[in-house]
Order: sequence, then C-alpha cells, then structure tokens
Amino acid sequence: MGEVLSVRDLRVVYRLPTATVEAVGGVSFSLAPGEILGLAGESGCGKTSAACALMRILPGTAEVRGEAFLEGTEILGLPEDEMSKVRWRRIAMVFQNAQAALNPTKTIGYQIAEPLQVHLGYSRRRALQEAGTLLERVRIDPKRLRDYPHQLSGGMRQRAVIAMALACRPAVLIADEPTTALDVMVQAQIIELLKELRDEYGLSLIYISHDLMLLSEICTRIAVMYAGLIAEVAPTGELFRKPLHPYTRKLLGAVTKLGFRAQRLETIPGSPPRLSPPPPGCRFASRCHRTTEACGREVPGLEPVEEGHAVACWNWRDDGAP
Amino acid sequence: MALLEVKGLTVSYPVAVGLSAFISRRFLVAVDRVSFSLPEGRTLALVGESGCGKSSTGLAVLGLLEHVGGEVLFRGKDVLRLRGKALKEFRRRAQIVFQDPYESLNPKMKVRAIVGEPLRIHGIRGDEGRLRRALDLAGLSPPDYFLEKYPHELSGGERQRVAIAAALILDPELLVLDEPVSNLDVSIKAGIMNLLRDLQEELKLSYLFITHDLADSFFLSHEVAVMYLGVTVEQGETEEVLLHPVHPYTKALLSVAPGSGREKVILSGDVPDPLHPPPGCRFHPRCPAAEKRCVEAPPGEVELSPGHSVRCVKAESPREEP
Repeated sequence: MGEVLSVRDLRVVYRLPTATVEAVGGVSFSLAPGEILGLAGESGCGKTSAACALMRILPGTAEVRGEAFLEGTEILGLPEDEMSKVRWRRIAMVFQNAQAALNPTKTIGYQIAEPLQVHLGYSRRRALQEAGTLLERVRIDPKRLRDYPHQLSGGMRQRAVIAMALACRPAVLIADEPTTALDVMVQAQIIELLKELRDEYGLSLIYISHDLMLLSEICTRIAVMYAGLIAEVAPTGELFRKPLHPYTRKLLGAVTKLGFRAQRLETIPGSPPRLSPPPPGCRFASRCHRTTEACGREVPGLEPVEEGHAVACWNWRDDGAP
Repeated sequence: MALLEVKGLTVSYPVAVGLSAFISRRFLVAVDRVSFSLPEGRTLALVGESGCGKSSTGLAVLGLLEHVGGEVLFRGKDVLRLRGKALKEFRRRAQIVFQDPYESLNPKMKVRAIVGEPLRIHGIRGDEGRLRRALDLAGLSPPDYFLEKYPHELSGGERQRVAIAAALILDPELLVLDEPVSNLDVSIKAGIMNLLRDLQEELKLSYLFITHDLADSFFLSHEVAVMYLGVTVEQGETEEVLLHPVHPYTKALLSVAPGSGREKVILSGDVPDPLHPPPGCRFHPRCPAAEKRCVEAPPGEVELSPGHSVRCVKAESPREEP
C-alpha cells in the first residue's frame, strides 16, 4: 500500500427537481505520499464536485458512488459519525474564497483553535497556543490571533485558512483554486508555503486549478478533467511535452505564454455537453476535430500509454499532429 | 501624432476615515503622475497587481472620474477639459469593455437593446444593419439568433462578445479593455483574445489593455507599462520589457508569472497601504536591491533606450544593473 489515497470509479450525481446531473462520471486516481496531484479543467468539469465528494461535504441532493481509500480506510461509505473523525483530521480542504471560509464574527485565533479543541480535545489554552504556532508557520505574526478576518489582507486570510486546515495534521490536503482570487505575488507566496508544508508535514496534496501553467509549476502529476471524466493523466513534464488527448492539446494551445507570441490561440468550438444525462460515447466528441464511429458509441476508458501516463481517447494512437 | 497622449495623469479618491470625514477630506492618490502615449492601431498594456492604479488610469483616460489632474490628449484635445458636445463626441470615439460580462450587461435588456443603446444615447437613428454588423464583428453570428436573447441565455464568452459589440457599434478609435478575459475559461478566453487581435487589425483600433496577466499582455500588446502603487516603474516595447526587464519589481513580477521559467523572486508581505505610501521609491520596502538612497527621494525616470524607460535609482547611474 504505497498510496495515501486511492479513488476508484467516483461518481457524483445531483438529483435536482428538474434534472439529474452526472457531474462526475466515474473517476479513478491515486495519490502517493508527498505527491502534489493537479486536477485541471474548466468550469463545470467536475473537479470541485469530486473534491467535495471526498470530503463528504456535498449537499443532500448529491449522490456519491464509488470507493475512496484514505490510508487504507474506505471513506465514502463511512457513517457520518466515523467520517467526522476523518474529516479535517486525515483529509482537509481549502477553498478559493477564504473570506467565505472564515467566520467574520470570530477572531482568527478562535477559528484556528476550534478544530484543535473539537477534534483533538485540546484545552482552550493549549489550542490557542498551538494556533499561534500555526499562524507563525504560515508566516503571520501570532499577534494577529486577536484580529478578525476583515483586518487581514486577502493573502493572509488564505494563509490563515491553510493554518486551520493543517491544524489537525491531515495526511491529505485538497486545495481548490486557493489562489485564483489573489494577485500573482501572493499566489507565489502561498504556493511556496504549500510546498514547504508538504515537505515538513509529509503532506500529500490535490491541487485543483483551471490554470495549467500554474499547475505545471507545482504538481508532480496532472489529471485533466473534461465533463466529469479524466481525459488524460500524466507526469507534469510529460503532459506538456507529449499531450495525447485532443482536449489537452487544445487547452495547451489556448494558453497565452510569456516569451512566445502565438499567431493565434487555439480555440475549442462549441461548449461542453449537458450532463443531464451525459451523451453516449466520448464526451468531447462533439467538439473534437478527429472523431471516428467509436467516439459516438462508447465512452473511452483511461488507457495506459506509458508509466504514469494514461489517456481516454479512442484515437490517440493515430493522432500524429494536433 | 499619437492618438492618445497622457501627461502627468493623477487620480485621487476622497476617503472618509471616521470623524475626519466631517472635518477634512483626505485623498488617496491612486495614480501618481503617469505618462504614456498610444499611437493609432497599437496596444498599450497597463499591467500590475490589484490596487496599482491600472483601472483608475483607464477610467480617467475616458473622463469617467473626478479628482483627476494632468492631461489626457485625445487627438491633441484635452479630454479632461471637454464639456458638452465635444465631450459627447469624444465618448463616441472612446469606449470601454469591462471585466465581468455577468455584471456589465443589464439582465433585463435583450441583446438588441444592449448593443443598440449607444446609438440611442448618441441620437443615431436605430439602424438594423448597424446592429447586425456590430454583432457580426464581435463574432456573434448569425446576428438574428442573438438579437432577441437575454444575457442569461448566453455563455460567458458570448456575453463578453455582446459587451464588445456594444463598444464597437459607434465605430470608436480607442477601446479601454479592463481585464476583458479575466473571468473566462481558458478555451473561451482564447477566442476573445483572437477576436481582439483581429478587430484591431481590421478596424485599426487602439487598445489600452488593462491586465494582471503578463502572458496576456505579451500576446496582445505592442507596449507595456508596469505599475506599482500608482506609479509606472517601467515601460517600453512589450518584448523589451517582458523579456529583458530592468526594474526589480518587473523582474519579480515576471518571475512569479506561471510558466515564465524564471527563477522565482518571491517578495514577502503585501503591497503597502496606498493611503500611506512609503517615502522615496515606493517599491523600496520590498525591493531586494534597495539601498539607502532609495528611501530618500523618489527615483526619476531614466530612458535606457529609445522608448524603454525605468524608474529606479540604480538605472540612473550608468553601468549598474539594478
């Protein structure tokens, strides 16, 4: 068992009054100790739904299926009282909007100390002391324990949220677009911090972002999601060198790059398919430039290509040029 | 003669702090003596982090702000002194596209009314052909399909195209693009970036492109002005500034841009409070190369090569790389 987290055939279906939406349609991946796995994809591709399913914090309208083994324990089927011992203690999450993740009426210190009291049974005093240490660790002056969220800058708030998430020393941290609302310099600070924390705490990370260039700088592996499925997964360097899925290629061609002024950026005609219900066959088929009869008929599975590199496309073999 | 010539532009905002609001008005200087010129058919990118004054500069150039000093010469006439008819005529020639097409479009108006509104305001007889042409230019075809839609029926990319169509309908010469692609998914963003480039070529438009994304500015702009705390620290040809940066702030900002491939220079802390800007060079508290003289007086602008200028004392003394 060399994996901290192993997810098998994860599905998330939202049962809404008007429709049934399959947001995640069967996703499998694993996370090695100390690894940073990137989940890339555009809005609505299911990356956040998948993450929230692992945390078991989806609303009641969501139906989650599949298996997820966290340090050997299957967590998707755990009764809630057992899950509450795992959530935040073994697997934690930080969100894009740090402002919304913090209670505006409670001090930062109170909010970081709270999980320590609730989950680890610390006394208030000891929890506050530990909160100070944690704040210092995320490079915020421990004096700010008494500050309220609105007194901190955006970057500091996100760091405080990271301190909260790490309070109970989880094994896995899911970072869902934690820097999307922040400036690049602050983003760089946060990423540096996350890398340090990974080394220090032996943390494994799932980093969710729409920004492939950003992921390329922090992730060991990247999984590209499209319409609720993983289209391609590969070690970071390999994904950029040898993207095989037409969607990955298009996406890489659509990104503006420093130092390389493209004549035109790649665009992807059309829009992602409705997932209520998802179309038969490959979900990218309607926007793909290279479809065969198989594409419309059957969903391609993730097929291993090389060590750690897998692609879900019927035609990846004969796709010489993008 | 440049289409737009900005000289010593200063923008202040009155701030009310507690009781002082009743006693005296204090001003926050958001833009401090910014100068640049924008030739016809070219793009100048204003880049920098939140609060650096790039958006204020864009709004001030259009004459949309109060408490503005300096000169904004549009075809030789000072926009800031225009009144009545002349001002209205200028507003026909200069338009703006905002960041968020979810907020900038009136949800109660159909596309026909949104795009046609500028015509009404300027008392131009509602001409169906003109409406169609604007939609066509913005890549919304067939126009008939889109004319009767409400914003909520459109995708993010289509909405931004509606905003662009509305900006184009009066045949402007200058477009201020205020983070026009920041809220869009990669593949949609690429389409808008291509469109902006095509429109410039076709209509000989001049763009003032406001962005925090250096890679985007590399794609779209001919010249770049890098702003920090209301001051332009470096400006010049895009390739020159972004590939051979001289100012320590430009270097740091570039280094943390995802995918730049540069060694990271991560500045600690946050941008200082613009109400209390640091003395001397505004960047000195965070500058890795700061020395004593940086605190004493703000550095003057030094022209390194024709069109490439930088505000750093180290550039003042020759043969000394800052």
